[in-house]
Amino acid sequence: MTPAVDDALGIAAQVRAGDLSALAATERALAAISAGDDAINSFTTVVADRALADARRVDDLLAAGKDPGPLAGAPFAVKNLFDVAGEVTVAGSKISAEDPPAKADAEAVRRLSAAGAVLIGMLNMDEYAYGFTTENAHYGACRNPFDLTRVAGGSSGGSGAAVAAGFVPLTLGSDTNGSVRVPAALCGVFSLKPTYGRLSCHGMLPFCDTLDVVGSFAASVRDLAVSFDLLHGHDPRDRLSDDRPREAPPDLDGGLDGLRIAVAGGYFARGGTPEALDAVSALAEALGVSEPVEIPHAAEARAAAMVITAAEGAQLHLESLRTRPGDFDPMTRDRFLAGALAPARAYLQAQDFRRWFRARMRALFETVDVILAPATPFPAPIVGQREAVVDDTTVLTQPYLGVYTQPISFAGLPVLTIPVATVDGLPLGVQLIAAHNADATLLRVAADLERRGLARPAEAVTPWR
Amino acid sequence: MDELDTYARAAARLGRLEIDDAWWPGVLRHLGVLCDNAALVEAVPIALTDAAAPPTVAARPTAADPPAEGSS
Repeated sequence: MTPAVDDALGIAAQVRAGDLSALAATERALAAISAGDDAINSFTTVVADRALADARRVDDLLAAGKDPGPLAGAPFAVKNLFDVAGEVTVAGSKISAEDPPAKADAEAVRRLSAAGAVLIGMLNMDEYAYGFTTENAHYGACRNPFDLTRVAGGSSGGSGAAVAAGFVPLTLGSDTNGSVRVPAALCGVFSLKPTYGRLSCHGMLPFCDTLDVVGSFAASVRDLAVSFDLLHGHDPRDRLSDDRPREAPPDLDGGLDGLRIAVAGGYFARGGTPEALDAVSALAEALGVSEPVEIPHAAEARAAAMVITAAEGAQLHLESLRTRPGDFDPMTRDRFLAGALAPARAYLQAQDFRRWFRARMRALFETVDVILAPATPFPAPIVGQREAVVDDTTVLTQPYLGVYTQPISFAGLPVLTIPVATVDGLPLGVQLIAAHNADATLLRVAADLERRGLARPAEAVTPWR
Repeated sequence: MDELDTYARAAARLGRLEIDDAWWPGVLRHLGVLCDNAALVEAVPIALTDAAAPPTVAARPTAADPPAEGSS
């Protein structure tokens, strides 16, 4: 399958060829947002003046015979926890809305802009990234472009919805427990949550330092690949940034030869709706994969991730929890407060378990290259839906959306989420999981699946396109 | 629940957190989930030699901080 001509690289190719000006591409994105985002609520801030100025700069460089970069004129947007110079990093909160504007762009924003991409705005999210649905009490729920009565997922809900709606072809989000993978799956787009530490988080408001990563959303695998290529690499200003040397651009034409692909069994083969589990089975069958592998102690990994997240998140916001707890979104306040009250032993024990679990995952990936697993247990829930029934058991919708994503990010593994199916018009995704630092392998596999038509973005009804 | 409530109120005093009466049911529910999760983790018989290194937790600087010299 050929990537859509209106993906980021497709737009950049048109701009570089002189078939489309960066200014026209930017105006088109701004017009689409103006026409469609009142219904979806994916953007919290549109930086139109900056976008138009950046677009003119790209056009001027081209007119002068200079190279504006591989993403020349391609519009992009970022979750509203990345610093954007001159804008307040709101992070979905009322409290941070009182902060002064950022003095500089976050490193990820700076790198994409330096590659010619044009920043269009900042995107809706759960308050301080603590949630899976982007039902934000301060800025409103972000709606799913496939059904406006349903959530877009979270916490990077705006990032998933803005790509699915066709407002911009490329967005950034952050993933701590599934905050990139869940909205990507529910909105039917591709996403990459890289290996922990490979992308700079400098200038990104943290949620849980030992789990946070920058992730990308796109309508094509090649856009994910170029985004990873531009963004990965050591940044000395991020103390948790891995100092591995940069890699060559990912090979998207390598195919699947020589790769050992398996499907996750046990924990990952139950606890979801039949449609969600069938989506994985169908992909496995198409690839001739039948051998299940067991990811050991996945339930405990999810449990430990929740303890670590609550404790670290509460510590980060402790001063605000002491002085103005009433200004938090009620959806996050109670969880942050609980995290602040959790005994230190629980946190330390969870970190001990994490090192043990990570070692076991390393051992597992000596026997397999890529593991397939569901991304979410069900398609997008309705806005305000508190409970769902799975396997005759009633679960809390919001936290349960992370049931398949949390154990994986807990180990710091890279995951590429591919859109594979729709159920009653609602998208479903599959996680492709690889060993630490095998991000390029995931891009290679996803590109092959995209070419075969086994992975493709779902098509939302977007009259503003 | 009484035991959890007693612990939580003491921990809130220790942490200088003033929790509105209306919020306590939600806070206790979430704290109970965290305790259940901690118990689940504790039940895994991990070898201490596998987990001896101290956890790494460090705050990231923001873009507002001046960049280090020579950084990209």
